[in-house]
Amino acid sequence: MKRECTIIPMGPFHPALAEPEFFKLSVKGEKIIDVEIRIGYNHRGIEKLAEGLTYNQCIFLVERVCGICSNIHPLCFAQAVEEIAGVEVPDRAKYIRTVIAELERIHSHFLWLGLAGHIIGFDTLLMWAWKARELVLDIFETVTGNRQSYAMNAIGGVRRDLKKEHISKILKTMDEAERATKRFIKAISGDPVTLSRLKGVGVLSNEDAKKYCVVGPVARASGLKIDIRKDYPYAAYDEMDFDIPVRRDGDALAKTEVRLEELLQSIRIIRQAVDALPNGDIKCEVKEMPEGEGLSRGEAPRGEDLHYVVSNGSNMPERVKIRAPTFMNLPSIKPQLIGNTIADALIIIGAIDPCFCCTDRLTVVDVKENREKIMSSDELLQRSRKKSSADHRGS
Amino acid sequence: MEDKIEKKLREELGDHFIEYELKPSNKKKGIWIRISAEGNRKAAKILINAFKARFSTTSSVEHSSFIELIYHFAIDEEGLAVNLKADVLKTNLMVETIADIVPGAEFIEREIYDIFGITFRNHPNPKRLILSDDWKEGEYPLRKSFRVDKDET
Repeated sequence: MKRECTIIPMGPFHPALAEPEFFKLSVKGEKIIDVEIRIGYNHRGIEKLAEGLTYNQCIFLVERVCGICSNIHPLCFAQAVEEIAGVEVPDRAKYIRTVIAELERIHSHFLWLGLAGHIIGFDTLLMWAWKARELVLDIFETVTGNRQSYAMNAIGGVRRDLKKEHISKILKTMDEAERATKRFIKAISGDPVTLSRLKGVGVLSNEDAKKYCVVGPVARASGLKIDIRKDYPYAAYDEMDFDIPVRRDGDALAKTEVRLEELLQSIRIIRQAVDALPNGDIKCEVKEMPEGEGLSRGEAPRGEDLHYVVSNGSNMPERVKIRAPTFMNLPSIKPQLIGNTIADALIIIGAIDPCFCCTDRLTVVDVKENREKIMSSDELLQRSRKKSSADHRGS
Repeated sequence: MEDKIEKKLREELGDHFIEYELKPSNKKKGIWIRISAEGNRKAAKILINAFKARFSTTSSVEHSSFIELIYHFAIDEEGLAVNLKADVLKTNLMVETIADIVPGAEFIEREIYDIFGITFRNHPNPKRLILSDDWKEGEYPLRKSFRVDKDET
């Protein structure tokens, strides 16, 4: 059967998300009958680099695993190290970590919503959602000094305090974010065109979701009620009151609905956390690193993030293992794509909210050019040098 | 729950069950069980089928004479982390795959082959995942012996 199909390469640069990934779609007419996924185009060797840095430096390194989830990685890493060191983070730091983590979820979900709108040709949604996201980025800038890569986490707590004026700004923005979210929910559920692009498209059955061990909103859209914030509470989540939105259909619409409702829950959590923000220190000191191992899980906007750290008693880790959520969600693309049309491939891939930079963490670059030719990294390097020197001459 | 898991695994795995430890993880309980590498399939099957465990990932840590695999499972309903540790000797870096039992393990086993050189026997799709196809055979970038060249030029 496969001999009679046509191969359509998608990537290595994903046309919608502008991130490197390669999907080899086997199609028969318009219908996708098989998919092969290739990753590794953006490996930066972060796990290897971590072995040569001190714990405090590692915090900044793992923050750069991902530009969108730049809080959850250092948070998970810090938690794993705190577990090895046996320190208890001050309550105020736990609350601040919770606030930052939820703000990150809001900005990430708005970002995704805009992209999803863009993919299906609903560019007004892109404008709206990114306008709302900008408000959250403004908070980050006020509180941390950075719109992205906030550098809030430290081993033993957080690096900056939340001041009174921050809190009033956060609360004000939450009101606006809530209004925006409700407007988006209305705009999507009331628009037959959007609904027809999302409904029944890219279904991930409950069984497949379990088989592929998917996490986060993708799992929750397929009826799996899992959320690290509830199941393995960290930071101050055990003191927060919130719901886990779940859908059964597993299609792109279910994934959208789950994320939209999660936005409202995040707003709810932030209001509670800033309201009950305890007084006290924001950081405790870690005097010594014993030998040992630490395992930490956290709920990133895309699902479970896992850090496993091994300490040899020195000031540098022996091993750091990072498992970002998209690494689990990506293989589940296969059953979601098969049986759908090429036209829907983009939104199906987009609906898992893939974050390839997180997934790729190793060394070399390889690029598949045209059909059969595989370029070696040396060839790529040569080509890049040639191009940059030509550009240089041109300017 | 943790007692049940310990009992069941101890019974079913027999000699492959080596050590059991209970440790906190994310404020919740975590189980760490050392098994022999030959028992990995049986243990994974029991955790998934009898205890509805979700496979998270597999970590790999290099030691002087062996590479340690840590299978991280999670029983979400109970908030219980179950971790299986198995040592694979460097003289024979082979272990049975679990990717046919849990397809979610396919990618990570391919990654571990790429970066540590452990072969997963009977893997459904034993191709490179993250390294390029022209990567030098026998060079595993996450091994301690692999040095990152300061300047490749």
